[in-house]
Amino acid sequence: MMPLLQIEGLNVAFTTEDGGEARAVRDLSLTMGREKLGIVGESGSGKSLTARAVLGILPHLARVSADRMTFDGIDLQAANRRQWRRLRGDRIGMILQDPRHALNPVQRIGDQIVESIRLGAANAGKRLSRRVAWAQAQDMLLSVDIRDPARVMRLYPHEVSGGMGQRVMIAIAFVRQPDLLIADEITSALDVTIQTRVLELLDQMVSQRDMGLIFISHDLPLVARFCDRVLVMYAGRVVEEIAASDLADAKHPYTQGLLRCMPRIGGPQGPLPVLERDDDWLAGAP
Amino acid sequence: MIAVDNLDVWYGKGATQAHVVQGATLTVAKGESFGLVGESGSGKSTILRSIVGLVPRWSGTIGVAGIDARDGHSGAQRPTFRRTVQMVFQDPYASLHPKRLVGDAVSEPMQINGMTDIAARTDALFADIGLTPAHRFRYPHELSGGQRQRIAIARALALEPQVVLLDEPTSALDVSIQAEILNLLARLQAERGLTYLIVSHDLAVISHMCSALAVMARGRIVETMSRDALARGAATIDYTRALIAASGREVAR
Repeated sequence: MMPLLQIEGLNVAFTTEDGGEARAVRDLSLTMGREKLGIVGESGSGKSLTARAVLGILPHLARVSADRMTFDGIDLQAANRRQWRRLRGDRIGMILQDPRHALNPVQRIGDQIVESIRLGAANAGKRLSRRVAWAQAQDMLLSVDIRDPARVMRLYPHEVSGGMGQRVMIAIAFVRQPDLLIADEITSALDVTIQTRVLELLDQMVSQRDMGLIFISHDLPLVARFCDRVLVMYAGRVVEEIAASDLADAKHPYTQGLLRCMPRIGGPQGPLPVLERDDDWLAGAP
Repeated sequence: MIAVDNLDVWYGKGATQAHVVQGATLTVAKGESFGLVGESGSGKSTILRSIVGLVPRWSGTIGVAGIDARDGHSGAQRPTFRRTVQMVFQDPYASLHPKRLVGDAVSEPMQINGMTDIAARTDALFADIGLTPAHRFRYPHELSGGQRQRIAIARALALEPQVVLLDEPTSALDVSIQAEILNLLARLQAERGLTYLIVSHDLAVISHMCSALAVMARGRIVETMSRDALARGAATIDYTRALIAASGREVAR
């Protein structure tokens, strides 16, 4: 079967002030189907740049190269503007960390969902009346656990909480029924109890629709609980790929170090183990 | 060392007035660490802000090292109070002046308070937080997140306080850097006999650092418990249990 997303030898680099080269993503390869794939690593490890490379939305200064980058058989490197318009949103959706930055601050929430629905219909060559789209938006908000959608749709983004805003973002992504969803640190700004609820929702929506999900997070235990498979990134490189259920038996010293340096409820109170970084990790050696 | 009794805090006035802290009472002994946990908007940071005098309207009593906060915030005791209690904020990018060298950010409180040997003290502080004297000539944006938080800690320690209030000191950091900062805070506390009041949404961090904690919800302290009781799972309130379940960090074996 054709994989949903296949990347081979992806490199993303930037030119530094002194004319040198900063390699932000190094020789990254991944193949995924309709599964929940987690990408973890510290800030600056290249997780988000990898996701942006998939959507073709890297900053202009980034130099990108890949031996192969295909989505459902479509060569992403050769895609023209028209093809990208059909891919972004319609087939590959993205949700970002902070709904207050991702939503348009001066447009009502309902109008933003309706816009997404009608854009999707237009891309498919259909005309959809505003009234029908409005009703669809209400249904979608209900399915992300917003009990009074009619009221929420009349609100502006600053009038809703972070958890509510993130559910709206999920709704906007799902009304287009994408095949692949990229979620970039979507629960980091939320309280733990709300985090759990948002993840349950996302899990339910992804499973019901048989989609692929790339779940980017710096929170290793969270990813392990939520995803099927995990890629661990360090300095732009994938240093370990592991089934989420095997994370406790991670082989790479970096993955082990990340797990060990976390405090635990009821754990010992002495100094926490500190991550000793090894230059060999940059070469990709285990 | 810290005694907060029946604290009430209001923000705003008239129809939009919010009663953000309601009847909060807590005490922290000298040299201890006490944790405040709860969700955003539960009032934990507001308690820290009222202790240092960043909240305009409050009632109740607050005492730090025997000084009544009402005298400490505005009265004759103000200079002493300022030297006794200092605060470290969540985001050092926001709390450090972006256009001022970090060495100056650390030495400024000492100059204001007329201390002597400021250059030598600054160097010693930089060594103590794990940076070199050369770091004094950097701007905040030239440092990593962990280094910036070290600077914020150095600035708080510049006046040799007895009490340090820490508001989410590691939540903007990666776990590897968090471990380094928590170790630093624990060492500084042991060496200097500091008393900490730590706000965090992360129960594991509080369990690691503190001997006791209070759980807050909607402006009230709903439960106060020891570190051991937390470890035993002796939480009596559903809300605390939900918080513990949700912050489960264990990777299943």
